[in-house]
Amino acid sequence: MSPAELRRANRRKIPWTMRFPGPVFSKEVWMLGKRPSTAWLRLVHVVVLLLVVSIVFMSLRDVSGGDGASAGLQRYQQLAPGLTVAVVWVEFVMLGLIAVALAAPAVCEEKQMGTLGTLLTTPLKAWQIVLGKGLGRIVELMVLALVPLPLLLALRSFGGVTAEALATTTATCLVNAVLAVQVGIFVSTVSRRAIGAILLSFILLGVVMFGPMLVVWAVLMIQSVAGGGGGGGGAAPGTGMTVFFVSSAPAMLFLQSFHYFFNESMGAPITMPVRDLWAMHIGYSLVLCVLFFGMSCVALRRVMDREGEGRAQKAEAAVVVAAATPVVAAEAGAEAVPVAALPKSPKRSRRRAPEGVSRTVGDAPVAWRELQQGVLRSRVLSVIAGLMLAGLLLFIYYVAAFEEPVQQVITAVGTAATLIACAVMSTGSIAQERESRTLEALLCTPLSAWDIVWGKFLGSARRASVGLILVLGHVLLSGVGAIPGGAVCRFIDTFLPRIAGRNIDPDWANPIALLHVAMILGSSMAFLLATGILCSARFKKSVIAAVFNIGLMLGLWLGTPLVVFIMTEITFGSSNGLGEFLQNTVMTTNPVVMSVIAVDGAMNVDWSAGGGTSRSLSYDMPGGDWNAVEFTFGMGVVTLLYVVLAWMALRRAAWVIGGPTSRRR
Amino acid sequence: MIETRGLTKKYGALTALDSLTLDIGPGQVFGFIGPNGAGKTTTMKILSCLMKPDAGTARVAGFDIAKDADDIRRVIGYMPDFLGVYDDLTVDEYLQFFAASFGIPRAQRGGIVGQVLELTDLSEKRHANVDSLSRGMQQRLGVARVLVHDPKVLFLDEPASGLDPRARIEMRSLLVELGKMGKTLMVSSHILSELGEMCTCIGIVERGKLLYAGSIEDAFAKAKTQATNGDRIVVTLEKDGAAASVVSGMLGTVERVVRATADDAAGTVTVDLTPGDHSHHFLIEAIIRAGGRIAGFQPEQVRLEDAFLRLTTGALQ
Repeated sequence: MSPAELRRANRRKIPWTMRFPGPVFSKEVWMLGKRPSTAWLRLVHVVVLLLVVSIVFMSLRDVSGGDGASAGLQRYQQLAPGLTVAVVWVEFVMLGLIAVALAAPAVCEEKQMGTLGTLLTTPLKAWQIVLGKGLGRIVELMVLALVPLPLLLALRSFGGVTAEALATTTATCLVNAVLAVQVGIFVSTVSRRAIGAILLSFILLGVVMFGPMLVVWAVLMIQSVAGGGGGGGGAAPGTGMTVFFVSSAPAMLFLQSFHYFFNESMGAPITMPVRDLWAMHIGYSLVLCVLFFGMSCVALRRVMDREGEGRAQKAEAAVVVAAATPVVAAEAGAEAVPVAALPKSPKRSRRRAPEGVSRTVGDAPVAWRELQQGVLRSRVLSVIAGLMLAGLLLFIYYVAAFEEPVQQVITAVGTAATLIACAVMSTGSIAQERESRTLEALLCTPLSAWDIVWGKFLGSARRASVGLILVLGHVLLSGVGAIPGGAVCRFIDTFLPRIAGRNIDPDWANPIALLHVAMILGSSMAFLLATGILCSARFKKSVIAAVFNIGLMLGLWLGTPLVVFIMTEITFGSSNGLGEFLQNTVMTTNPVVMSVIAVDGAMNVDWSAGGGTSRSLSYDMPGGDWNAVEFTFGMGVVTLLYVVLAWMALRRAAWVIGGPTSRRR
Repeated sequence: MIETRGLTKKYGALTALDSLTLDIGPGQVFGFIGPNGAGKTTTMKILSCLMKPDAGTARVAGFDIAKDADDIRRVIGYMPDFLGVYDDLTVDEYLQFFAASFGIPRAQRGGIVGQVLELTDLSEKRHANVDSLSRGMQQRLGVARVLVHDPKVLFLDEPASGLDPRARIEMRSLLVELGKMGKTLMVSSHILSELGEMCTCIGIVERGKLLYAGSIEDAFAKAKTQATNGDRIVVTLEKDGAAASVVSGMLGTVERVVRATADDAAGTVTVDLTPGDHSHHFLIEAIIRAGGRIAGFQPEQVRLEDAFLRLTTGALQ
């Protein structure tokens, strides 16, 4: 039989029904279904959904109406839009998060377990693997999407919500979840570690979901600036750009849809048929899905090829090196091969010492090694990322000219992004040692558990400090105008309009904002890094640790304020002392809100007029204004609280590591 | 140097170690043999203080594993069956890292690293990245790692697993060298012939129970007793003499022969003798009397594999 005949015969043996969706799909559905982590994700999804729906229901139930069935039905109809909006938002956020959590480790785990090479020996194509992994996760997401279905149907039947509204918003949620899966799988093929893949997936997802919107916004801003209209220009309704602006970003689409369907005034209305917007968004997302699917296939093919080449190269290297070993060479009668002639190791981009050079390890080896790790895997990537970020900031500074809202937004986004990075960054510290089987070697040394935990914490803190430095750099740039006594501010105020060619009235912050933001962000970072290390010690897999720590962060700083605010409003009313105290307490411990208040409060003085001291600053806290001394004291207490909590989390992590090995903690 | 008394460890309903009692003297190279899941790795992890036993006591170099874990870590080296490496370090940095973990002063580390690299034949790869090493070299690096603090006791879990024949020979030579240096070694392996060549004593464990512990010679004798009750001789006959079946029939009547089995096609007769020390001349005389012409006369050597198979029941967990 000729090779061509053999190939044809082999193909005939596998019916197409078995090739699609294929064995990878079956395995993924089976494995995902029986993993405890998937069960936890389902539980969290249901609990969050129930919690939000309950809170929204309770907050909306106090609507006017009489007694009786018709009045009750009327009340339901009044509640329905609000509940639908809440369910859709929760579905959108939760399905996106879960999609990334499920998809980002998909290929990384295969790489780490060494099972990717096994797939090389099968006739499976890269597209079959990507498709199988993607579909397996989409099935899981579909199951999760069924959870709120009874509620949505009830809202449709009794609340008067239109089928179109439900269909469009639910479809948008699902399509975005599918997009998140595809992005996660693509990132997973190009990443080595699951933790990095999760973080990168979130960033990339943010870029594809909001990037076009930001580009359009930037173009409109430039047009606005060029037209002499000053900073802060907005989208002109009805233009083609605006359509893209709205339809590319799911959040914008939701706001527009809610306005259209429910007359909810949650976003700026744009006079466009919402059906067109919806169709454009679905189309845009599906095109992106196909694009990422194709890119994933190409990337996976290359990874598999590289893996095969790497193994062969390593095997050859081993043979040559063995021959070069003097004793063996003498036995085999072979000539020694000079080391320079040996095949080089596969090219890798990890940060390490230059070839042929070894660094001197410090006396605290765990901390030493952790401190050697870069934020990104290569210096080139770091420089590119740094330049892109700097360019973006400069652009924003240019078009928005240091206006107060922009300063607050940059601070809020920078703080939130830094905290998310912190929540993920340290969760791999212990779990990855366990996954790569290096933890046993470490535990066989006399190092105390505290040495290990503290070393990991220092390394994570060093890597996370980039975010802190960026935020502080921004605040410094904002606050520099106030030093000394507004002189610099006055100089720049006279200088900037000349280069910008327009009238600018920058808002400058008091440098005390630096101290406040450093306290707030630094302590909350330490807290998240410490809880990340604790999760890492507690959970076997770094991905589960990361998801848990992100959940903790969101629950603490997003879920708790929501619950407390709504519950206190319902229970005590808006002017109750206890309610205000609870709200104040919760908000004071929220680093994003406090950072914004710190910057906002520091700008409450007209520095260009040359007046103002720290005593005249006013901070807009939920329960009333605080002066600088009160705010500094309050933030000091919060800082202390987070530092103590971080220390307790680290001690607990040391206990978890040291317990089974009778180790000094 | 190592002593365990009634060491027991359970994973849920599964008993991984069942009252393991063992003594290993100083300078011994102890081969730890058993089927997969027999409890070898669990024993090593408990002795390395990576795991606590559910019951029983153990002492390593005179230290109690329950009370003196930190002291034990300073006198032992444990190499797990799968060696994880920090792939962002060079060989030198990797060894320095562990030297620093054992509190070796910075000034001494360079010299120590050089010595262990020379011993493990990795000097030429000193500044190579760890992940560029072959599997065999990584295993040798694993041995180098456990030697940096000059431990008295080494626990090596499957040190030759996954290595090619050349790398296995090198690993065996290295372990023999370590034995000569006076270190106490506890080595688990599935390659029993290699253990037979380098170990001074062995322990056979199955289902968490220690079936045998002692010298290799005693293991052979015990295996022999359990299986054949005596020596086994394989006689090869020349074709121009009496057939194998004829000779075996004749040998079956000899007093000290338990059983004689013929293979006419191969021209061999396998003879099982009664237990005890025998000279074999009576067999030769009987074969000649039967008309057989002897081409070969080979007492069968009991190998460690045979001893292992005969001492274990083959039950896996």
